[in-house]
This record gives sequence, C-alpha cells and structure tokens, in this order.
Amino acid sequence: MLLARTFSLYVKEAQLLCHAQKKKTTKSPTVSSPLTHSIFLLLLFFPSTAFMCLLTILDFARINASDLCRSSAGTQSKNLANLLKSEAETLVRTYIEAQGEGFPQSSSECKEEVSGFPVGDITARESPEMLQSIYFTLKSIDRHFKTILQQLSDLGFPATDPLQMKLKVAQERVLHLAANIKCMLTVPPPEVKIPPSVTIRGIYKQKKYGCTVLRKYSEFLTQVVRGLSHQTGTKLKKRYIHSHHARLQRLP
Amino acid sequence: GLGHSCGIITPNSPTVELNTEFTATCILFDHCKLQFKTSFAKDIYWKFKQYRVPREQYKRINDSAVSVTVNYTSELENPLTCNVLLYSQLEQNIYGVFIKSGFSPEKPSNLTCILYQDKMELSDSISCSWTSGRLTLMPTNYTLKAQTSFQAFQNQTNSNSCELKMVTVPIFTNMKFWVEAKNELGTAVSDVVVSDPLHLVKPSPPVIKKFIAENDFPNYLMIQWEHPLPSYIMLFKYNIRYRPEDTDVWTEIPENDTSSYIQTFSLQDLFPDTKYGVSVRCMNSEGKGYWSDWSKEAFQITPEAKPSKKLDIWRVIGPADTSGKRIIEAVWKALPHFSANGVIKVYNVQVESLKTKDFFSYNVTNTTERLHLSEKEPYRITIVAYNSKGKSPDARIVIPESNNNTESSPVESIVPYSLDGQMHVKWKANTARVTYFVVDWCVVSEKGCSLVSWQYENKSSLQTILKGDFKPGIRYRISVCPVYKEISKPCFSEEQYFQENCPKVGPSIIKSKREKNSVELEWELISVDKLNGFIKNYTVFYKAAEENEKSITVGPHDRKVTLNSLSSNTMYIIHVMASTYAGGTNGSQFTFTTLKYAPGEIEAIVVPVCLCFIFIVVIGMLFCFNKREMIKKHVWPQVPDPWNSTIANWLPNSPSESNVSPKEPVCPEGSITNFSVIEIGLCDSKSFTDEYNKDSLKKGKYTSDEHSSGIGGSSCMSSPRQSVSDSDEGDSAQTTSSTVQYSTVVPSNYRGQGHLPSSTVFSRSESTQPLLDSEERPEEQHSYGNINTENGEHLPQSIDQDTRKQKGSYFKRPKPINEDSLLKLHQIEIAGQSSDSFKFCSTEDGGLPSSNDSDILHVDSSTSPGMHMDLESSEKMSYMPQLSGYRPQ
Repeated sequence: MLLARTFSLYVKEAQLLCHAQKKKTTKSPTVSSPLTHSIFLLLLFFPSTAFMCLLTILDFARINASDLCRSSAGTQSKNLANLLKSEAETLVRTYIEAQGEGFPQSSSECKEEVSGFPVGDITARESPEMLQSIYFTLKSIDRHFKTILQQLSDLGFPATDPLQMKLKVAQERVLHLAANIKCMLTVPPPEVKIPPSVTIRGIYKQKKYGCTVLRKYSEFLTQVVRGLSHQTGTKLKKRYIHSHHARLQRLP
Repeated sequence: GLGHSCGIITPNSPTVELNTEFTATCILFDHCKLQFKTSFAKDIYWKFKQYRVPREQYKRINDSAVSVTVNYTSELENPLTCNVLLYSQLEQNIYGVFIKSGFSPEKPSNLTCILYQDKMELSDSISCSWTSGRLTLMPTNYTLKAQTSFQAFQNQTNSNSCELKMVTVPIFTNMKFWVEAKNELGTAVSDVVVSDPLHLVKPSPPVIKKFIAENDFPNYLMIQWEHPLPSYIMLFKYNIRYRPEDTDVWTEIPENDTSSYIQTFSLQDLFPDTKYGVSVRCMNSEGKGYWSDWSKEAFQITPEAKPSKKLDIWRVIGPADTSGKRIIEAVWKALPHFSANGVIKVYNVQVESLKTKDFFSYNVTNTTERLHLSEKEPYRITIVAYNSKGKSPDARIVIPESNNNTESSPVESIVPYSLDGQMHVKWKANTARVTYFVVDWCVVSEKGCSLVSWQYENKSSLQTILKGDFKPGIRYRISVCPVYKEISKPCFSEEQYFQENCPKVGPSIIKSKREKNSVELEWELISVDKLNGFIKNYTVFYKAAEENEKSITVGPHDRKVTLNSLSSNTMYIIHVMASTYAGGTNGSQFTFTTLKYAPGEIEAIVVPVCLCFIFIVVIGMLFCFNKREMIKKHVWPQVPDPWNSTIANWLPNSPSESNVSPKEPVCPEGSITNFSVIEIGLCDSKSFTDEYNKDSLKKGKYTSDEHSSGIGGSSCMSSPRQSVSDSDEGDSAQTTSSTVQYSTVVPSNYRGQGHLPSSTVFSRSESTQPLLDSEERPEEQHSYGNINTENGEHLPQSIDQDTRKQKGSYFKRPKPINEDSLLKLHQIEIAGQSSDSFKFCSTEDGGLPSSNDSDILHVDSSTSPGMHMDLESSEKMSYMPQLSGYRPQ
C-alpha cells in the first residue's frame, strides 16, 4: 500500500516535472533528469513492482499536453464541468449511502476542515485568476480523491465497487478539466506543489473527510460551471491557445 | 543457416526488402582452406535453390571470401547457398541461409475511431481502424496509440483495426490517436488525429416512446422518443423518416426541422386511414461523430376521412333487346387507398332519365352494376362511394339515347402502339365539343371484347400512355371516346397487340381438291385467342418424297392456295405456317397424292377404244352378213343326206324311206362288210380338183402349230373352227354336221383296252373330243406305231391331220413335211397302201378311195382285230347315228 501511494506520488510528480520541462524545452519527449533520478531510485528499491509503472511513467513523460489544446477548450471545460457537476451530486449521494448506518444522510453535515478549496465565489474574480483558481483547486481535488480512494481501499472496498469506480472516473475527469483549464490560461500556471492530505485518524473522521471533500467538490463545480458559462468565446482565445494552434498548424 | 563446418554466409539470417539489392558474403573457414586449396575463389558459385547466380554478380574479396549481389525479388527462392565445385565435377555445399523477405510497412492512413454507446453511457473503449497500405509479406505489428493530457493508451494488433480499453473514456477533452506499423524492415507512423472522443461517438438509436394519432386529424401523427444520452454528455440532432407500411419508399423530414435537441415531432400531410411506419436516428448536435442506426420502426394508422376523390366511372353499352331495352353496364374503379381515406362501405348508384325525370337509387357493394334501360331515353348515372366519415364527390355519366349513335365521332383516327414497355395511344380529334376523353381497352376474344380498364384524359391531350398491365400475345381493342358535358360520344377503336408472339397453333388444312398436277388447299382460320398477333402472311410448304421442300406465301387474308406444277401420282406432304411479326407457327401436316389421270383422261382413252371396237364389230358383222353365203358354206356346209343316197335305192333290201331314220344305221353292219361302195357323185371330179388344189395351197398351213385341235364351234370366228376350216377346207364337202366335223384317228386299242397290232390300223373316229388322254400319257404315244413325237399334245390331231391330209407333219409340226417321210409312214403303217390315194382325199374321204383300193382301205376284220373291236364298240356310242351316216359311205 505504501508502495502504491509512493508510486502514485511519483507519478504525479513526474507528470508535473515533465510538464514543466516541456514548457522549457519545447516538445521534446525526453525525460527530465530529476525524474530519471527518481525512477532510478524506484528501480533501485522496488525493482520488481516498479517495472510496469516505469512504462506508464515513461509514457506520461512523453505526453505533450499542449498538443491537445484547441479553441474548443472553453466549451469543453464548461461541458465537462457540467458533467462533473451532474455526476458530483450522484457521487456524494453514493458516498453517503456507502458509509453505512450512523453516518449523516445529508452532506450538509459534512463540515470537516479540508484544504485546497477556494474561499468565496471564484466567479467574482477576473477570468485568468478564476481559471488559475479553478486549476489549482482541481489539482487539490485530485489529491483529495486519491486520499479518499486510498481510505476506501483501506476500508476494504473492492476496486470494482461502484463508489470506487465513480470516484476514479471523477478523478480522471477532474484532471481532464484541469488540463482544459490549463489550455485556457494565457500564462501557464506556476507549478505549485500541492501539499499532501493530512493523515486522518479514525474511520468516522475519514468518512466525514470524504463526505466533506465531495460536498465541497460539488459546490466548487457549481461555481466553475457558472464561472465558465460567463466566459465568452473571445475571452477564451488567449495567446496561449493561439500559440499552440500555430505550432500545430506548422506540423506536417 | 545450414550447419556446415567449412564456411559461413553473412548475414546469417537476413531480412531483405523485396526489389532491393542484397549482398551476401561466403567466408571459408581456415581449416577448410587446405581442402579447397586455392580453387575456392575460382570455383565458388551461389545458388538460390536451383538457380545459379551468374558469376558476373560475384565479387572476390579475398581467397576465402566471395560476395554476391542480387536484386532480390520474390522469384528468387530460398535457400541461398554457397557452393564449390571440387575437381571440376563434385558439388560441395559450403553454407546456406534462408532469407526473409517482404516490404517495410507503409504509413497507415485513414485512421478513424468510433466511440460506441453502451446502454445509457458511453462505452469504455474506442475502436479505431486504418488503412495499412501494401502487403508487407512478413509479420507486421500495428500499435494503436492514444493520449490525453495525462494518460497514454496503446494496443497492438497485426490487422488494421484495434480497440483501446479505458476506465472511462475521456470526454470534453482532446485525445491524440495514431498508429505505428513496425516490422523487421522498418517502422511507419500514421498522422496524428486529435479529437474530443465525444466527437467520435456513434450513439445508440433513440427509442421511440410514442407514435400516436388524433381522431380529428386524419393527416397527422405525433412521434416521441428518448434521448440516447443525458444532455450533459451530449446534445443530439435527429433525423426522422416515415413511410406508408405498404411501400418501401421512405420520406425523410428535412434535417433543419429536427436539428434541435427535440424529443417530439408531428408528421403532417399524411394520408388518412393509412398505416405509417416511422423511425428516428441521431448524432451529436454539432454534426461531429456518426449517425446512429435507425431506431426500430414504430407503426400507427391515421384516422379515416371522407373519400377525397370522385369515382372513375364508365359504361359498356350492350345491344337492345326486343323490348327496346339496352343492357348498360356501369363500371367504376374502387378508389385508391389514398383517395378512399377509409374503408368504402357502400356505393350509391342513382339512375335518372333525362327525358322523363324518373329517378331511382340504390346501394351496391361491388364496382359494377348492370342496368336495363330504354334505348329511347337518355339517362344520367351518378355513383358515389361512402365510408365511415362521409361520401365521395359525385361521379356522373350520361348515356345518350341509342339513335344518337348515328352521330359521327369527334375522333377521326387513333393509333395505338407499344413503346418502351408501355402502350401508347395517339388520336386525332376535333376537340371543340369535347370535355374530356375516355380511353378504354378490352381484350378481344372469340366470345367478344371484355372491358379491361379505362382512363380519363383531358381534352387537350391527344396522346397518352395507358396505365394498365398489358400482356403480350393478347389482342386489345383500344377505343377513344370523347365525352361532352358528361355525355359520351361515339368511340373510335383500333385493335393492337402490346407485343406480338408467334401464333399458338398453325393453320390446319380442312379442304383439298386434288388434280393430276395441282391441288387446291383451304385451311381454317385461327381463332383470335390463339393468334397472338396479326397474321402477316401464310406460307404453304409442300414436299414430295426425295424432293426439296418448296413454299409459297400468300397474304394474311387468303385462306386458299392452289399449288401447281406438281407431279402426278405423287405423294406430297404439306403444312401451312401462319406468320405474325414475331414469327411463324406451323400447322399440322397434311398428306395427299396427286391423281394419276386428269379428269376426262380415262374417258378420252376409253371412249375411242370402245368406239373402235364397236366399229370393228360392226364392220365384222357387215362383212359376215355380206359373206354369209360363204360363211354358211364354210360353217354349215351342205351335208349329203344319206337318205337321198342312191345306195338306199340301190340295195335290194333297203328299208323303206319311212321306216328308216336318218339317224339310224343305214344298213346293218353285217350287210356292208362285204361291200365297198364308192359314191362318185359326192366326190366328183370338180370337187376333187378343187379340194386338191386347195389342199395343195394349204400345205404350208399344216406345218404350222397354230391350229390346235378343239371342239368345233358354230361360230365362224372360233379358233377351233378356224383350225378346222384351215385344215379342212378341202374336206368341206365331206364334213358332217358340226358335231361330227372332226375326224379323229382313233387307235383301236384306245386307252389300252386292246393290244395294238404291229401294223397300226387307222380308222375314222366320231369323237368330237380332243384326245387329251393321249397327252396325259405320252408313253402310250409310243404304242402308236412307234411314232417318235416331241409333243404328245398334238399327237392325235397330227395323226388325224396326217390321216386327213396324208402329208401331215407326223406329229412334229415345226418339222417340214417331206414326201419321203410320208411315204415311209405309209410303208410302215399301211402295207400296200397307195400313196396316191392320200394325195387327193383325206382320211375322211377314205370312203372315197379309188375303186381299186377299196379293199386296202377297208381293213378286213380278220386281219385287223383291233379295228374290228373298234367298230363294235362304236355301235354302242350315242353318236353312232351320225357315224352311221358316214358308214354307208
């Protein structure tokens, strides 16, 4: 379990590192040297288990996300936020139902302290700031989801459990939304290290934590949907997107 | 490679791209150098299986290494071997390798990916396919790759399609797709396709929830369906199509009307009371992706409406009967479904006399009604159709009174013809008083013409295509009937075939009139039901045995033909072919034999022949009549009456005349045995002289065998008579009556009843029968004095003749008679008989010999017992009285 968590962490880090590297060195699909060090460390300590992961990481390392940015990123983001929002309500309900008796049947009672969510209404902010806020929040949500999945796994939920499945789908889509938002940003967002979730002791607290994350996630998505809806197409046409477009057009 | 110890080929396991140059080097190991000495570089040769590579393509690298370079094609077969010819004769293989060949992969193209819907969600996998390009002829792997902003997916295949499995397919984000093709000869990568997977969706067909009709809207149906996916995943545009159930032709609603995200739609302008099918499909509202399949068809029936169109009515006017009523058959077509607008329950027929204003109306359910209407009045027939919602508009037609039929038709001519599988009609008409035309057509048959259909044409059209199922080989009578203000005017008709065929049957010959050199044939008319076309002509084929077939063609209206120049008394086989424009059909064969004689020819032969015969007969009769005395003299000569014989008076004991019958013996036998009487008066000198002369002249005749003996007849024409007359002309004076005119020599021992003496005695016979027995028994002929004869048949007669003529042929007629033979005969037969006595007197006249010979002629019974016996027996014969007439002589 520890290995998995460590690996996951490394993967995430590798992605971020890779992304940062690409920004600096155009689109060369090479692995940055810090990441390589990390991989070597992994291979050194966990040679048997890490081999498959290495391939995935290498693949991730080769990914050049900027190729995927299109002018439709705004619409896609809005639609994806809508999708996530509609699924989030189901997810919260599913999560609460899965926690068994004694657990509050309303998400409103889930008021644990959870970091990473914006304070206030993000739609009130200027577009770039809003987008950046959305982006970082989505990153934080991803981390929270990972924690919840881990907790569920620790609690013995099978991988095929509907809650787990929905969480995984949501987690992937959150990352997709983050990628879309990133495409919408004029300036690439700074690579901020997302702090790891605080280890929560006690199952009930973990459940409350999960419930709170999902509630906040749903509330956040409501803001995102509203915020992205206000975005006009012209506003979304940022230099960042244009630059990627120009690069794609130059491709043979 | 092949395991040999003396050398090796490099490369050892080559993979070569076809149609490229390939170089291999054969290296000899050191330990074999001694074995091959220095001949290796010189004696080496390369082979692809059995094909030896020409030496020009070799390159000597050193004494122990030689390379070969070839343009490697698929024709070069494995293995490639390096060989050496030892001692100029012994092949020694050094090494061999198998070459893998093929092509490097071409760049995959046309990469397309589809994301299917799975139930109410999107599938968790994306299917992609591409075009591989040319065949590589060797194992080639294709790796389908996909990538999101933070994920990568790939799958491998050796075909040209693949599927990428994911936890969840990312949507509202872009993915990259590409394919890498790789084999031993190279790698090729397709173009990268970047797309939001949502734009690759092929949704499931929408599910139709409702398809409903509203009772008051017969032209309207409403459809309602479900969206395949939630709207937050995808918005759809739709495509709707519908059709009447009984057709396969779909009508699609324009896409613009259904491009929005809708769930219901109203189909309008539909036919009432019609069952419609509808189906829907959808795709991404942005038009990206794929149309779903058509949904399962849903059906609904539109409500009924009243019939929208009036009936097509027409009439068939029959002849009037004795009561002055015509049979008017009103016919109408059932309304087509789209006009009936429901189930027609009944037709209302109204008949109104335009003269008397009589009116009657009734309902029927079929589409024809027979009416008996007066020919003196015009009638208006009105027919309407009813369904549950109402009635159709009135359909009317006016039947004019029959005397109006004499009016001329505005139609001047019509020309029906078939073209491009359709029946066309053109007509010329004065359309001034025409409201519309009705073109009808009926099938012509033996029974008449049965109406098939009709159609309305407006007054301006002077040609049309008949809408009907016209069949080949059927004769149609097509009529164009003008109608003016609902009054039908006289029609103009022509008959036509839609397509002519050969007649079903050929003509059968029903009559023939044979002549010696000709025949007149008549054949029956083929029934119109079997004609299959208009007769173009008839061809008569006729053929005699061992002759070529001939033919004669006559016009379509001819049913008779006369074949001339035939051979007489010859059998001919004939058949008649009836030809239409499609071809001909032969009738049954007819066989006849021409006459041997022409009529009157036999009469022309027989009548003259008969006339000639009659003429000859008449001439003969006249001749006989004119020469009757002579004939009488010959046929019925004067027979001396013995009664008047002087000997009767001369004998003292002669019976009185009254007591003696002429038939009876003149005298008793015993009384004359002692006498020899010579009656000179009956054989006077003149007679003798004449007879002698005649006899002399007739000698030649006696040599002929024409005059066979026979019974003497009374006719002067009879052959026996002729025979007798020929032979006995000189004897006529001595000949007795017809029954005794033959004189026959009868041997005394006739039929072996006695023994002939060594010296034959001839005696006169009274028999009138030919001596046939002697013919039957020729052996007995030898007993006649050992006379050698060739033909026993003539023996008695010959003897008789000889006896009478004295100079006969002696039984052998062809043999000329000479006096020597006669003399010899006499010498044999009658000893001491004078030949002179035979020269002038026949045997019959033997009774008139010279006086000095009488004893000799009359054979004494003592010396001739046979003769004596004969005489005795002759007394018992019935004709003895005749004989006795001679005996006195």
